[in-house]
Amino acid sequence: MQEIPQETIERCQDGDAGAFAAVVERYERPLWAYVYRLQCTPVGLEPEDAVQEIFLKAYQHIQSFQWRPNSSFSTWLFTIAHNHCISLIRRRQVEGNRLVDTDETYTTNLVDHRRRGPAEEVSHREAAQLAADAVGSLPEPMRSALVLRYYQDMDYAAIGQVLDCDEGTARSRVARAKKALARLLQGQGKID
Amino acid sequence: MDKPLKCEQIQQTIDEMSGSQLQEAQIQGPVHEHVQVCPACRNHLADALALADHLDQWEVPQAGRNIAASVMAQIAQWERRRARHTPGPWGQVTALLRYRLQIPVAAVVPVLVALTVSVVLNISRVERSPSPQYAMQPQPTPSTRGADSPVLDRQVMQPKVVYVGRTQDSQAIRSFLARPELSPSALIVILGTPPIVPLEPESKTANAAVNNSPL
Repeated sequence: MQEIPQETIERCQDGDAGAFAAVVERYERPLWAYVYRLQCTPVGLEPEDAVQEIFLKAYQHIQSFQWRPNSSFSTWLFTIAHNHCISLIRRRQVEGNRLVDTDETYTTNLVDHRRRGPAEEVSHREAAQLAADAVGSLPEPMRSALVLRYYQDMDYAAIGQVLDCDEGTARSRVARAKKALARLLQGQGKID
Repeated sequence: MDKPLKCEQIQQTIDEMSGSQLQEAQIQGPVHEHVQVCPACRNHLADALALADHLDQWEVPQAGRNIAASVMAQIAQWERRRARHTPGPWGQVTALLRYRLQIPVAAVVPVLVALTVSVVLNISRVERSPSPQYAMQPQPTPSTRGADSPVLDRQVMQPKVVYVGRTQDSQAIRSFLARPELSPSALIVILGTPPIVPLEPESKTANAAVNNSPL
């Protein structure tokens, strides 16, 4: 993941709120995708709200970020995002919502649908729904690990930092997530 | 014998590939060569590609609103709130410790408590000194003043010989502390007060008093 220049972060730490706009611009899309794919927002809260809260938290605590050899700003930001999502998932569970609640929530407005024909669009929507359901059905540590690895292209060391575990554990969570997904999709006859 | 190990390595390499790398066109080099001749690894790759293909179907839509604008508006609002509630001296000290000096406040509080306790105990110790025989540890400075006179003057900042009596000295200290021009340095005087030692160690009274001292 491309990092934001250190100078920008230092300006943010010196109280330059304007410099934080560059941070938001750089990480808005990856954070949005992460929150969206974790399917963590409870009823009444949009994924957009969660992303806003994550950025606000990051801004409020940016003084605590320190440049170190083995850490990056994106890892720090995703750690905040992950912790926020975990608290939302807990809230969702407390409120008694189903964790997998993807009907018309996580697969609508898909990109590119104007380029497909009606039949292709239906098929694509079903496949997307299937993938969303499959990822959503994974238990939490595996789900985050898979999303970070597969969709965010993060290396295992960074995943370990975000999930607060060591690199080997991150590796094993991703592997188990892939196996679970493969079993699920094989059970539905979607892959051999 | 080499084949199982090699297959293991190849399959591990395939498993290590993430989204963007796991496309048929990207499979090159040793992996590509190996899967041409190894059905097991070919199947493993096919499963991985099928799974990746399914995961790729789940695209993320555009956010429903302009997140960046909302975030910056929230930040501006938060900054305004913060400006209205500027932290007091304690808040500024904790912010300085936490963010600039990277010292946890929890580590500083015990030190402050210990300092406060030492000040209080020093004061009470001075007040409980049994007789003029006890004195602050003197620096060997000749004093022209009378031995019993409870003198605390400005030069006591580097504690000189200060003879203390039970009543007279507490009054003297209080009156000394009451001087408005000495308010910050008064504490330094108390903190800098060396331990009380008997001038005449052979004295029974003195020894008894020292042994009973809670300090």
